[in-house]
Order: sequence, then C-alpha cells, then structure tokens
Amino acid sequence: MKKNLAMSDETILELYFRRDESAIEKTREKFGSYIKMISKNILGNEEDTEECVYDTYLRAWNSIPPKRPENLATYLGKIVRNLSLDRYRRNNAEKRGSGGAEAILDELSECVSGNSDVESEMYRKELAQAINDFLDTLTDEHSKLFVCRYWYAMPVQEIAKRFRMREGNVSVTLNRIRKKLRTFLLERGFDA
Amino acid sequence: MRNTNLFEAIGEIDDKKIADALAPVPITKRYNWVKIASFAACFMVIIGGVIYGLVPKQENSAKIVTPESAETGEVVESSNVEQKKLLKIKEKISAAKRDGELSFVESVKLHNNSQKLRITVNTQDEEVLKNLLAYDENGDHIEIEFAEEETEGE
Repeated sequence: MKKNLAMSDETILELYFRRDESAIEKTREKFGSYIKMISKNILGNEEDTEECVYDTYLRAWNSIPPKRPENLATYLGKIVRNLSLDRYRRNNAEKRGSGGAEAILDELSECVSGNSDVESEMYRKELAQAINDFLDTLTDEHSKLFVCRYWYAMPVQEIAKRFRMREGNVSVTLNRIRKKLRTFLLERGFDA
Repeated sequence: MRNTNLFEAIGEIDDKKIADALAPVPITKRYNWVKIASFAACFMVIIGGVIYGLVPKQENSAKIVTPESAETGEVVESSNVEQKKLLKIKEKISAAKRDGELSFVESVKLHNNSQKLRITVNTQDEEVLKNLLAYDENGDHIEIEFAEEETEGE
C-alpha cells in the first residue's frame, strides 16, 4: 500500500522553527515540483531553474523564523517567482535565453504605457491591491486563467489542457482580460 | 509603469487566488451544439421516414359507402379520384331514378373493374337518353345497355 509521506505545512514549519535542517528536505519532498514548475515556466532553462530552486530553499530557511507564513506553498511560490524574475532580468541584460517570461512580459506590456518607471514599494502594493480588486470583477474561471498565465507563467498549451479549452480560446480570453485590466487600471488612476 | 512592475505586482496578489488557480478544475461538459443539432436533425428525418412508411395511404385505400351501396351492402374500395367521380354519378342517377326523372333506367352497376357505369335502360329514344348522358360530364363514364324487349309471343 502506498503511504502518503508528505508532512503537513504546520509540521514542516515547526522544523524550521526548531532550526532542524530536515525542514529543507521535507520542503523539497512536498513542494519541490511546484517550485520547479514556476521557475521553469519563467526561465525555461533547466540549469537556471535548479539554481533558483535551491536559492528558494535557502531564502525560506533564512526567513522562517521570524516569518510564519499562513500558506507555505504560496510563500515559497512567491520567493521562487521573484528569484526567477531577477534571474530573467540578469539573463536578459546578458542577452542569454529568456524562457517563457519574455512572452508574458510582452503580453503585459499591452496593459502598460512604459512612460513612467515607478519602483516604490508603496506603488507596487497599491497596484497589487488594484489587481486583486480587478480579479474580483472576473468570473472564477477567468480569474484562474489570469493567475495561471501571469502568476504561474504557465504556457498557453498547458492552460488549455488544464481548463479543457482550445489554445485559441485561451489566447482570446487572455487578450480580453488584458484589455479589461488596462481599462480598470486607467480608471483607478494608474498610468497604464 | 513597466511591464516588469506589473508582473511583480501580480506576484503580490492574494494567496487564496494563487492557491485556488491550481485547484483541480471541475469537469464541466462543454456541449457541441452543432453536433447535437445535426444529430437531432438526422434522427428526426429517420423517424419521419419510418412513420411515413408505417402509416397506410389513406387516399388510395378509402372505402366509400354510398347510400345505395349501403342498402345493397356493397362496399366499394376507391383507388383513385376517378372512381369517386363514378360513384357520385351513380348516386345521382340512382336518386333521379327513385324520383321518377329517369324512370327508363332499369339498373345501374359498376362495370369493367369499377372503371365504368353500366346502365340498363328500357328505351332507345335518343332525346330521352340525352337526359341520362347529361349526368356524365366527361362522357366516358357511362355505358348504356338496352334491355331486351319482351316479344309479343311470349
């Protein structure tokens, strides 16, 4: 009989708080494929992905404690997403392979003007809140499509398979969502 | 705003939305209405054909019972409109005979596999017979038969 060896998030967090190094191994067992999927979607490169995944474990080890994330999966997901984006920027500056992020950023450029270069933390928080509010205006399916594409950086083919849609339908739906987002952000005063 | 800023901001959306997006997508049946409609249309054509084949053809097998034939118990199966016409003429002549208008008519019978009316008359007077032939508008439904005259010796 197959045994479910995955620990609960709470137990893994306890290991981090006890500074037990097996916390990293347990994290890898439970969330390894999830973390790798996000990084690979953004970078599309096995070598860089592996590096980002290990950096994620290291960053989690260094940040827990004092942090005690409510949802360990999304906490790790956010770390690996940011690390992968940083790696993407570096690769892009060095003109190295840019993976799936290039297409995604290209699509997102339809929602922004590129005139302003606001980098402040405050601005990003407000923008994130506006995007949250925007997602609340969408249907459940469209909201999930948006998150799969622009948070998880999933390829369109994979989204189509996941939602049992045609690839063309996914692209058209995402295009409409982006147009709605642009209008929404403009109405909220963002210099989209 | 730059697209990377937007990508970063998307990274900070609610944890619940992030987690929900990876939840298994419930299987919803997406109906292909074009397929269903064409299948239904084919089905209806087949059913229609079967029903058409099963229903007896009323027009070709109508049983016509005239007042006269009802008296004699004669039930005539009319296979076409011509026969209906014939029966109408037969009815009219029989009625006229009863009323005394065509007293010279002795009998009216369907003849030649119900294609004609054979009318037996006891006169050869052409003027009188014209009254009888007037019932046959087309002129090809009536055959006149003259009744044999009784010989004086008998």
